[in-house]
Amino acid sequence: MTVVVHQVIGGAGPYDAITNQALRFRRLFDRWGWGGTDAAVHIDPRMTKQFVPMRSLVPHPDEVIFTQYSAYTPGLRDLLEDHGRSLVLCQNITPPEWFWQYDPLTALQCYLGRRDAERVMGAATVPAGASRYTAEEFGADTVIPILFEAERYGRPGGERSPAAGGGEVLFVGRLCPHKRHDSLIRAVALLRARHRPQATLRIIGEPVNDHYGAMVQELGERLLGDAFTWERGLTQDELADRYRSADALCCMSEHEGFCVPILEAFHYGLPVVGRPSGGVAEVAGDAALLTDDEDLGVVAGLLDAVLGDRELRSDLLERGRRRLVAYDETTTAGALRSAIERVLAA
Amino acid sequence: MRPEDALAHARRLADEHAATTIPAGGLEVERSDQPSDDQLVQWAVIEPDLDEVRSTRPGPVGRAVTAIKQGQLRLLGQYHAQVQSVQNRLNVHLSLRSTLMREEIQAMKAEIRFLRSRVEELEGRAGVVPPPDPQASPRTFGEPVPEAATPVNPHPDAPSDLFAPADRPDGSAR
Repeated sequence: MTVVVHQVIGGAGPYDAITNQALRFRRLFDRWGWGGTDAAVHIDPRMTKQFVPMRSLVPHPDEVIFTQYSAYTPGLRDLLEDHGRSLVLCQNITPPEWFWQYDPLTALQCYLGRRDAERVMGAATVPAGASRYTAEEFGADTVIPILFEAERYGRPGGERSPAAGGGEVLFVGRLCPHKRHDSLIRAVALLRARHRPQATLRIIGEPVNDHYGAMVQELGERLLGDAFTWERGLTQDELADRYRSADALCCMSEHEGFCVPILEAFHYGLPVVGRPSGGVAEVAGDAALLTDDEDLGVVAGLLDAVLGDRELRSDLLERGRRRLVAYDETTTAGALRSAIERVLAA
Repeated sequence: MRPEDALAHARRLADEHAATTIPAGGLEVERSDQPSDDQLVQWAVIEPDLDEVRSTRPGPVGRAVTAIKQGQLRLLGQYHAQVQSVQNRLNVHLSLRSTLMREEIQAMKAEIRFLRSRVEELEGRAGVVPPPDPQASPRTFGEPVPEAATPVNPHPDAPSDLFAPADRPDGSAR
């Protein structure tokens, strides 16, 4: 009997991480000889060939619905409750309190998404999380990590020797309040004031809205001047170049379900400094320098250490390479297949 | 240095350089349970950014579609202004009303707190055993609310000044 797995996501867009992961999951299903359709509630006009509207999906009772849950998705709960076989992979949803002041619509989506999550996860035959942290937070016992395909990222970066008194700190991720770009900018300002006057900061990502982006930019320019760069809308190749030319990744985010940029940094040979929030500590393991000290001077001290201590850098990079093995594509593929087989056996 | 020693090293560095600081001010992200009343009023007045009306297609086709959309906006400018003013009127009234309601609720909560403490004080002075609080223990949904015991005054001859008015939170003696 052919296994049929229909994927359902909230929104399908060309640059959306969940969409891209759904497409990669579909390639895995194709490789396994499994059939099915990919559906979404909101579909960008550029994705109409790959996705059909969710309302057009009428699954046979023997077929499996697999959904990645990352935001409030109208109609999804009813679909899952009406259908007996489903796998829900929760990618985590940021608590709304991070957004009320800065982007109320996103806050509302997060609020509804987290409120609905309990019933969505409860309706699943097998509920799962993208990290142990997310699984526990949303009442699941199965972990299916993000699919990290190293070959998609191109060649790893070579060994770097940051200039004395300098070094480029990088952060990649949406400009959202919980990512704490404000703390990152202040930490690098302290790094420059106390240890490395030529250090620079490059942040890459789309802002949650233009106003918030302007506030981050204003702070960056005020505290760092020309040493601050914000880029957005980069291609995959351009992003790879930025990783290869940076000297350290610093993630001050206070809520992360998984944090893919950490694995990307390991791939490109960057040491990682940051906060041990959410899934960060789990993904980074012992390969990053993490602290929840409120004093940003401690973060500046850690950055100075990874930029200036060659032995520390190479130790961290070696540990990072080991973390990449733990998140190898085969690990995720195996966990996903096993979870879907559990759904079929239920 | 080993990674395990880096944090202690960074803390020492931070202590040594504590006197070197950076300018204050600028964005400092704060969490909040809900938008403030000021924000609600600010958001109530809708001001759509008409420059955002554009095509998502790249190249000359996209530029042409953007020009058509912008042209339509200009032609319909008067109509849109009228629609916005009607919407703004409703939004502003709703946000102001929500602010007033919040203030009223806060005043009522203060009044309830005052009355509760006054009742407790009087019960204590009269030696009345208060009935169990039905809100104190969680109930299963649908389960009937336990019947409250009728408070008993064991001192029916207690002095009448027990029920004398006390200072209210707003200073009045209603």
